[in-house]
Amino acid sequence: MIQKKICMVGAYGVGKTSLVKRFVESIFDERYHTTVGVKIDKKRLQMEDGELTLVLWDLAGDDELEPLRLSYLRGASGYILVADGCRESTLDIAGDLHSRIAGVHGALPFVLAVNKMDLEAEWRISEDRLARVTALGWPLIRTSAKTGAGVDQTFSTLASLLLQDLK
Amino acid sequence: MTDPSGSGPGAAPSKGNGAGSPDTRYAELRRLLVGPEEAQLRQLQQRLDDPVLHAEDVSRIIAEAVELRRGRDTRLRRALLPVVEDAIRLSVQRDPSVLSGALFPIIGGAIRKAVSGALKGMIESLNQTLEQSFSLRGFQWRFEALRTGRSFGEILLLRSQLYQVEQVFLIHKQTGLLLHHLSSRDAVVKDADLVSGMLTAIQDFVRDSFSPATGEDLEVMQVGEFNLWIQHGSRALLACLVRGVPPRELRRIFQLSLTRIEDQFWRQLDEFDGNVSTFAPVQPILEACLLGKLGERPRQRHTGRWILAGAACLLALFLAFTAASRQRRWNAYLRRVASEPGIVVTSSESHWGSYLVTGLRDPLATDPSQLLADAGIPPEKVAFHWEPYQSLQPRFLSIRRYQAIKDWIESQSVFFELSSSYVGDGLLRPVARKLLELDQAAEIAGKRYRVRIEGRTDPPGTVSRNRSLAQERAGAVLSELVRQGVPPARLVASAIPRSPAESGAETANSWERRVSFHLLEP
Ligand SMILES: Nc1nc2c(ncn2[C@@H]2O[C@H](COP(=O)(O)OP(=O)(O)OP(=O)(O)O)[C@@H](O)[C@H]2O)c(=O)[nH]1
Ligand SMILES: [Mg+2]
Repeated sequence: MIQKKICMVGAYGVGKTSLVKRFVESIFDERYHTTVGVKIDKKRLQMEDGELTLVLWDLAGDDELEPLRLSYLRGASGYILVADGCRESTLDIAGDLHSRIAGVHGALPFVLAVNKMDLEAEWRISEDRLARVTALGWPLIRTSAKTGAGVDQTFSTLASLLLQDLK
Repeated sequence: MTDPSGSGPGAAPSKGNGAGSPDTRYAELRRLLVGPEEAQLRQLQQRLDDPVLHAEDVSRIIAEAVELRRGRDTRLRRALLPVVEDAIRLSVQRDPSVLSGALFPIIGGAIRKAVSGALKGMIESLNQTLEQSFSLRGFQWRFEALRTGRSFGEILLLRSQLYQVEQVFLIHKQTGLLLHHLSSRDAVVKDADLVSGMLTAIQDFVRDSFSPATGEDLEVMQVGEFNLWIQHGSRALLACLVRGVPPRELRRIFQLSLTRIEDQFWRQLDEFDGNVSTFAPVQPILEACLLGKLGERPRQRHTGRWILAGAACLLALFLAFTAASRQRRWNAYLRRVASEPGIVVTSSESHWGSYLVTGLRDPLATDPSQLLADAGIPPEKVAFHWEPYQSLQPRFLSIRRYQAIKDWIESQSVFFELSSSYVGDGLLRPVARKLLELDQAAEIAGKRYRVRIEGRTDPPGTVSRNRSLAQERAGAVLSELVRQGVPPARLVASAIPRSPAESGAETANSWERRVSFHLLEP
């Protein structure tokens, strides 16, 4: 049995906790309880060559007052960068976090989840901007913790990236 | 008092009156008499009325005044107390982080100190009470300690039922992933993985927030009725959840277990890629940490279970018996090794059926691994670690002396003139003396030997002449040695023939006209 630690990182309120909740418990909550410190969950995945347990560290969102504690990423095999499609600035923050993490922990597998795709009316990030991100080679997936769209795909993409690393 | 400001009713009408009236004259007089003072008074009044100026004045002296008053009585303190209390209350209401931030450096340390002090005190006093109490049980424990050679503390630890190690977590330090988990109850433990992750996160948090510089680690946590004891290794953490009051000894046991795990599994810990099954073999080490009321198992009701239990008992007995006889055999072997001259056993450990013996060993001493077969212990189960040393045992001393004399004698040569076998007077005295010493040393060392006296010649001359010359030279040395007291039984004289190839170089040379010595040992 293989276990892997992965982290959820991104600006505050982008839906990190909601994505984990959707993935692990298949539920969604409209209410917003900001995460303090870390919340840990786990999920078993059946992969092609055996079982994989993801231990998910849902980290408190990054903001000016409480910048992300990079030490929580120690020993992580990969991470999910989360941005909020309704706030363009969260994509910049995701990019910034990505380079800070790489600076401390080296290049790790990651997936970028642009969340809240169900809120079409409030969507603020242009397709053009997203295309530029994909052009960098970043694995990008549009998700909604509310409807569940793209959520399993996000985690399983990261899982297969991790296992590729193992080979 | 008269109003000096001029705005009062008495001053205003004076301007309108004609000169020379008594009122005017009085005013004139007044102006003359007290005019300067009046101006001063007005200034003073202004100062008292103007809050800005007044505040400035008070500010100049307030510190001195407070100091003076403080020394005089306690009224100032009493007057200020409610103000300060209110101020603190307000500050906490508005933003608690300000005050807690200011106080943390003092309070955090103080609390930590107080808590650990109290904890230590509690445990220590308990320990003392336990050690001093003279109950029948205590007496049994002391007896057990005597009998088994363990410390009383250890027996106490094993026997007293004041705590229970309920769960043990082995955690990979780097990733915080759970490598192995055991719990003392049959109860299914919910999500040990998450506990492990949380623990690591808390560690990270503590290290980040409180003592980033010192790298001080969290070692004890109170979780409800549990104590969580965390041992920090370089690659792993061992967290043990203990109910009750754990004795100090326990900490040592946990630490030893962690050290053992890190010693045995350091490679797997370093190369850990998420595959936890490689850590299955730590099970027995962790099991040894589940101390406490382990013996109290719920009673079995069903007969089938009784049979099973009986079989298990038999098996356990059998295992215990084989373990005991293995232990006996090992102990006998250790005694045997320790009694060997030139071997000092400093420590012996057994881990799960294999053994490590450490100590000092004279290179001349018997090889202890040779004794394993006699004792019926498989050699692959035993590792030795010997530091070389020179034993002062008489036998070893004599062996060393014998060896030294032998080396010296074999390096000696007695030289001869051309075609002569005459041994100069006194030339052989040192050799003879050494041979006598050799005889003594050999006796104590238990060595048997003979000295071959080897006669040689140089190339010129016929082969047969040379052979008899060599023989004569050896014989001459032998009889001279015997004359000086060397027992003849120890000596043999022989001629070393020149091989035909050697005979090719036909020049005379003094180096080869000699007798040398060689020790023959059976
Ligand atoms: N409509 C919609 N709302 C979402 C979605 N994901 C999250 N939300 C809402 O966004 C708010 C914040 O979500 P969280 O999951 O708590 O965000 P977070 O990133 O964990 O926030 P922090 O812990 O403060 O960093 C909540 O009110 C969620 O209900 C989504 O996909 N669609
Ligand atoms: Mg959150």
